Amino acid sequence: MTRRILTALVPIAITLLANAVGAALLASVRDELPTQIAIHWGTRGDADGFATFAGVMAMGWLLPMGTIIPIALLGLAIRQGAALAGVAAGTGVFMAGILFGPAYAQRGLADGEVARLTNWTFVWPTVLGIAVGIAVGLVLRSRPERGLAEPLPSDALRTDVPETAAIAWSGTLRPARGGQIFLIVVILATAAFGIVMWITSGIWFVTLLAALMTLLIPLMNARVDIDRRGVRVSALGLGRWTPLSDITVGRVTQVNCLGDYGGWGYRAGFDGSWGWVSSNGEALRIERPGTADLVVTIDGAAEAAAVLNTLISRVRV
Amino acid sequence: MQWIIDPALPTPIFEQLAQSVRTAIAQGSLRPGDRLPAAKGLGESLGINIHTVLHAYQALRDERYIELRRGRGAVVLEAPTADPRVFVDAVTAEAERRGIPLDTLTTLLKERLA
Repeated sequence: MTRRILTALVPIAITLLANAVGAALLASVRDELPTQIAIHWGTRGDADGFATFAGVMAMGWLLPMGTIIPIALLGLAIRQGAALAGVAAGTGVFMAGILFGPAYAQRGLADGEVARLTNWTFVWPTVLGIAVGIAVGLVLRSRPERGLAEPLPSDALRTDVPETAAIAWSGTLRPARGGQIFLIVVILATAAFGIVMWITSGIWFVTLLAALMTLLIPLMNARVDIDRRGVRVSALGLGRWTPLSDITVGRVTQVNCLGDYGGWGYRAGFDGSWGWVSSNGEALRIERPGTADLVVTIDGAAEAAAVLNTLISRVRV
Repeated sequence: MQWIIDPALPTPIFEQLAQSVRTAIAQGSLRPGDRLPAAKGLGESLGINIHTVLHAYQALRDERYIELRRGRGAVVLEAPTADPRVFVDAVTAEAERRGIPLDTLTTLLKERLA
């Protein structure tokens, strides 16, 4: 079985397992559940949607599988199986938790109408989903051999500097005002909705979610550094160097965020690359043998590529 | 922006750093509000002492190209664009980097403007 097939099957298997655990737990307390089980709540925390035990079971199986299978297949199609396997597995666990958990919590209730929504309903499926997603992504990610970069192509851009000169390039992702405004609007809308929920029903989870979303803003202004150590994209003080020995060449390319990456941010591209893509236009494409190319949308991509290739030529025999 | 320093040149390293910034501002690759790299990070990138970088930043601050803000670092100001010395400095620094004698540069400029 190839690794690619495995990255599609693993999240499906994990979701099936999560569903099986949820269904088994729910079935074990069937006699203690109300006839009409609450499955939906309004912003005030009052139950306003109900289903039978069979209905909850059907939803618990169909919704996660209906979501996870397309994600896993998409990962196969765009050659980003490991990354999307993590997303799919984490989402599957989250959905199983959010669908079976509230029903399980209603054991002992005579009537589903009195079932209340709590923060715990969201917190544990989210935490567990994120943990499983990260674990699956880390286990399934490819581990390319280091130092496989080929000789610098003769047509690579270079900068004209003496051998005695030290060179470097620094900058940030090209800002996209429209994207930043859109993100801020989404955060504010989520926060407003969350505050209403908190006041009316005591649910603070959505407000917490809005607060965490603000961490996305610095990602859109990530720093890009190129020097004798290699290339690093960093945000919030975090980032990893890709050494020059792992880079074949830097080239200038054009990016359409939506068409090539399905959106903005740190994203998997439809061509198998990984991109820090903040706005349409010129970008630096860093070719790395044995692993995905890295694309960063920056102004001055030609200058950055020339500096990178000059540094590579100094270390490449 | 591109950073170039050459220890083989007679120009002090801090001045070469400062000239990189002036050139970037003149070319438009640095705009008002842009942040320069942290002194420690830039020093590590180029293999020079952090104090050399700070000396360059302080020189640029004194020339009002940047301001140094606690917590934000070095931020580019509105360039003194009316000052033609910005461009002269950039051209002479580039000529020096490429090993073009200033006499040659002056001759070429006169021919161009004739």
